[in-house]
Amino acid sequence: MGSLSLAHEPVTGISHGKLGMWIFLATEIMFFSGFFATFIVMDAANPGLFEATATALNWKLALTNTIILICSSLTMALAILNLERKDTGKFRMFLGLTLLGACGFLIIKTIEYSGKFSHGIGPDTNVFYGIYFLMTGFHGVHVVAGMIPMIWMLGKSFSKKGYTNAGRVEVLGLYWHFVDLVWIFLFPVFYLLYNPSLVWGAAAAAGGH
Amino acid sequence: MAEGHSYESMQREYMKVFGALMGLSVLTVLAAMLPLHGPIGITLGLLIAAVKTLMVMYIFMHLKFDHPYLRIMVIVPLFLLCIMIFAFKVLGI
Repeated sequence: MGSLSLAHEPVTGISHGKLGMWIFLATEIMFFSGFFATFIVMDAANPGLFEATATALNWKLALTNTIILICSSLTMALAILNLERKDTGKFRMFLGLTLLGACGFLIIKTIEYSGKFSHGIGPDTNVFYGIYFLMTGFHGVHVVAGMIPMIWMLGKSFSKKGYTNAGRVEVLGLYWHFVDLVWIFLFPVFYLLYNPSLVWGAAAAAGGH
Repeated sequence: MAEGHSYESMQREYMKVFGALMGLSVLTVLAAMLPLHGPIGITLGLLIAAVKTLMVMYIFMHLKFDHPYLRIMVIVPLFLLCIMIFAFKVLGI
């Protein structure tokens, strides 16, 4: 019997960090999918509740956060691009702007949360608020988690040797763009699609009664 | 940097995607103001989000320039997610 020989490709040309991050992001998609499934099931089990509650969310703050995250995604991509051509100054500037965007996002999220808490609204108010705090909270944790390596890299970039590992920044960039992607779904799902008061004429009609 | 792409061409691609993402964010708010009730409005909102997702993944996350393995890796869970939404929202299982 000849030995079994399986054709395999030991070298994909993908860096380990990048491959690992993409596998992780694939699991992250499934992680958030579970929450979206919960959202759909809870909505189906409570007819009318989501439409009645989503109206109370502040979509203008959420739109501001959407814009902030898109900007920080762009600055992250530009930071990588500049580190690859060894422009340390611009790398530092764009990474700093990305970090600033993350801070801005969290500040606005805090304003939003404290506005709810001050009205006695929390995750236990109803299932809509439960899933709202669960999903936006987990997203916020992801933002904080992304800030840690950003701060570390930014700190390193001020050292004598500077920060030169563009591959690692690219891997962090993948994660950061993913955090932006999650928000791209959270924004319409929570703030827009279940908010009948947004529809033109709805506010005027409500005021007329 | 993606192989064979200059700094300038990548920067141009990024700026184009950035502009499109901004435009689509405004569009998704405007779409929510249309008197589309239930499934049609939700489908429209999710479609806009899907277009944004593809742009971020292909350009910002370099899927367009990277090894096809990575594309397969992310398409599988996204496909499962679409099946889930379809099953729940359209078929009502």
